[in-house]
Amino acid sequence: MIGKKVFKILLYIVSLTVLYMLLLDFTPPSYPILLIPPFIVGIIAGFVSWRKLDLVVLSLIPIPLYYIAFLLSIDRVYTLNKVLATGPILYIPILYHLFLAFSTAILIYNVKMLFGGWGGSAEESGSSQGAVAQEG
Amino acid sequence: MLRRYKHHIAILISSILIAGLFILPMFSPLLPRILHPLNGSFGSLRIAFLEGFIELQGLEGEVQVLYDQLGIPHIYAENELDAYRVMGFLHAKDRFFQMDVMRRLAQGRLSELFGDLTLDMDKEFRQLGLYISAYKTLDYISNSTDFSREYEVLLAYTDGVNQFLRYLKSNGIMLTEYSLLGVEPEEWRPVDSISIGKFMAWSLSWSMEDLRLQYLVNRNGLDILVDLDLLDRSLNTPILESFTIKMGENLTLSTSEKSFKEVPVEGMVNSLEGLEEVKNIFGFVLGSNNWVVSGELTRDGYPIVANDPHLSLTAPPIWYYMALTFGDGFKILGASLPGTPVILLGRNNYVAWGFTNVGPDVTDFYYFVWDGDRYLYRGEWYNIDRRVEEIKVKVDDGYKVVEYVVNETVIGPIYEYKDERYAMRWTGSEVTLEMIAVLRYNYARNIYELIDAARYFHVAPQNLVAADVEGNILYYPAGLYPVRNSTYLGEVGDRKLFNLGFLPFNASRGEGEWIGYIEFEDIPHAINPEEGFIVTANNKVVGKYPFYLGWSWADRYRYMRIKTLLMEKAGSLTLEDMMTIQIDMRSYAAESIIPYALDIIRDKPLEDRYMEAFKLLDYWDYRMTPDSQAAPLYVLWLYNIHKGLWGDIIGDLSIGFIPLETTEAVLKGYLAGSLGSFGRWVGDVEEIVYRAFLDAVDRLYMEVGSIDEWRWGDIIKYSITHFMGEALPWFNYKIYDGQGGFYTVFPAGFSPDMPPYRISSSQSMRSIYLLDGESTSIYFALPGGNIGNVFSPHYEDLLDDYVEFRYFKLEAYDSPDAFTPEYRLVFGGG
Repeated sequence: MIGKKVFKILLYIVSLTVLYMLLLDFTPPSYPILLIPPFIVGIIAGFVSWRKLDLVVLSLIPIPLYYIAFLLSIDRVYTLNKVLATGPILYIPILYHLFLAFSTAILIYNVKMLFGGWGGSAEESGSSQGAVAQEG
Repeated sequence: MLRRYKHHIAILISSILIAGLFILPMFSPLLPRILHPLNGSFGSLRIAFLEGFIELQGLEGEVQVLYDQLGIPHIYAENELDAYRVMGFLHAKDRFFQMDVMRRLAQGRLSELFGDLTLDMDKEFRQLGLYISAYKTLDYISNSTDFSREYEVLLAYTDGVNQFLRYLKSNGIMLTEYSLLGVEPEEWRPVDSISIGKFMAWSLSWSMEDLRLQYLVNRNGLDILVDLDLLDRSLNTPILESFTIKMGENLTLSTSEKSFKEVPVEGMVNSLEGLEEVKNIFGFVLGSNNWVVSGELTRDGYPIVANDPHLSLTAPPIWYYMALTFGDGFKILGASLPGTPVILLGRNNYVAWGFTNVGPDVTDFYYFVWDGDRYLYRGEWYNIDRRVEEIKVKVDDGYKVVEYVVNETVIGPIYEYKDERYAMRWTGSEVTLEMIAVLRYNYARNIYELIDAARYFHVAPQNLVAADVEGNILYYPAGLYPVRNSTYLGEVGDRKLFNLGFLPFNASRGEGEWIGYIEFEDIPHAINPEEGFIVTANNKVVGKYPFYLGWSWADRYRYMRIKTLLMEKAGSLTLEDMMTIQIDMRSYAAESIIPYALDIIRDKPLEDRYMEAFKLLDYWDYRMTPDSQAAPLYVLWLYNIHKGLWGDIIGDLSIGFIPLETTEAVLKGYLAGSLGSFGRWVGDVEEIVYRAFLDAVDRLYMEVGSIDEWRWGDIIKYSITHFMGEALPWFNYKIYDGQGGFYTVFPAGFSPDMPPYRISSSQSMRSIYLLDGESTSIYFALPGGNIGNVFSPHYEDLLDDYVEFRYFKLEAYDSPDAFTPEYRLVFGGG
């Protein structure tokens, strides 16, 4: 049961990471369109989360995961050092995307909770009502 | 209560946060540009590793580009236009920002990128009007059937640059610099390439020496020009001893009436210093060396050409090495200037060529009689022409337009400071065809075809040395040298002095009119000279010669050192010898001056620490290596002596205005007991030299530490910066210990007054060409990396080797299959 759950979360994380990557690739670098990738990641993370922990994991992990994979894919030490040396220009967008994805996920998650989990099963929804129902 | 509304509260807070995160970038100029990490600020990363197939419109055949292990592209094309189209693409891919900055600088449009920061610089260049002469030149080239081949090359190159920009756009990529500046790269035009050529020509030849000399004369009288040997420079050593012209004697017309006037220039001299400073960004600062030796003097019997231009050190370097092979195996390789479709310094299968700057007087300033905004010119009154320049200046939400009015006379633009008003004329303001000349150098098959091409080399005059595989060697300082209607200034001693162009002219009286240029055949030159070699190091071009070329030659020290080293091994010279000479750090200036300076103070009382310092110099081998303890003392002492001797005379001028050879002559004259014509201008020589020494030692103790800590490499550093390096430090190169000095063959340009020093200029590359008729190759070093993309492993990979004096071999192979590239690009037509 736990294994299935972990697998499901991992599947979501990978899917969201790939989705984020594709969105970045296809989004032109002009404001405000450039904020769409983390926004969509946040929407999906909020929608599929059924616990607060899932919410945190799904909205916060895919984005840094993508950048870590990206940096690891740079097989030239020189280039990697230069990329890391760019400092704020590297870190500010990552943190900004992260913050936006998380805020969006919280919004969607709480809207979902407010309206009763949007039809998710009691077990999966993780809402207070769901938890009560399970306990009952 | 709160628990009951926790979802509402969370929704409210997160909604505010999301809205805030979406709105915040609207209030920040920088944030929107960096928030898309990969397509935005890291777009350059993709370009740094671009490889594979690329569609390029307009190609007639497939073009292969093989980047070697040094990041140097080898282009293999079926025809020349394909090769130049791809050259444009590669220049843009690897150096677009540099090209863009240079064209905008030349055209007075930098503020479109950098806002108010560069507005004053733009005004200066609008005043110069380089872009106007670039348009005139383009118009001339495009309408002349003589240059249709070169014009097609220019168009193909331009198209290649623009196809790269379209590639960026279609792939949603912004290069780092543009992402940060928030500006879209602008399309390339043929006039941009010509503008870059004009900028280089300006930085190498435009000068305000006439005004400086007038300032010196105003302070000291005309005598100083003759007494200090400033005009004749007889203490200098010329490249050619004499040259006989075909046209007869000096054609210059002269006025008989004495016309010298102390016109005010002080404000102008100071106000134009800023413009001169711009030269330091990309241009000429220090000098250059080149030489050619015939096969008779080399061990293996074929000629060798060596060249090391001394320019500002920048990240990326000024030069971009590449090799082009097209047609039936025609190869051109060497240092290209990004933004222009030429290998400026290099070789092909048949010839190799190198430049140093001649540094002649090709700029004149003119004063007028004024009546308000009217000026008297040759007896008639004219109104000032006003050219209104609209300068676009980047601001947070777009651009603002600043209007700048340039006042012009029939002679040229007016430079003014309070009541000082001068019109300026410079050879580069005309239609000039140096790009045509260099493109034809690229195709020359022997030195005689080079000479034919050199007819079109107009500005800035360059000491062309060259050799071909047939064994011929050549020296030709091709360029436009104005011949003026000179004016009689007065008598100095028993000499009648004429203003040949070295002081401002009175235009109201029609003085100083340009009556033509020195005929190409009459420019001093040498083909296969008897000595078997030619050396140039920005020194005086020729000794006995009827025309005035200029006076502001570099001191003879580098020239003498190179000549000495070549002659030591004449008959057995090898590639390795040429390398040894290029990196030589023994200072001929120190060797010529320091023993005499030491003798002057040898009997003076010196306390222990001064005596210790004295001994350092007394036992010095004159080598300005990083480990040298004596070098920093030599630099400061010489600076102090020079300033001590001439400081009062030159006033606000830079101390470098007086040749060091003059100081050398004073010290030698003092010891010999005869100061000659220098005597009335210098004070107590012994006291000056002594005080200069004590001060140099004291300052080194104060700024650096005790004598054990005086190490040249610790005091002088290579700190090579990018144009945007102040804001973006990761664009700058690593810092290295420096070496060399002002007058060493391997040079270092820096401001000598206050240690520690930063080297601002040095060898911008060094190249050696063997004309053995077998391999088409170059031995070279580059201060940085070939690729200007900060994320490329070739951004600064050659700098270690440059500093450590290692050379690389760049060879153009017959076929792309002849070597294994690091990566490959294949261009095919669409």
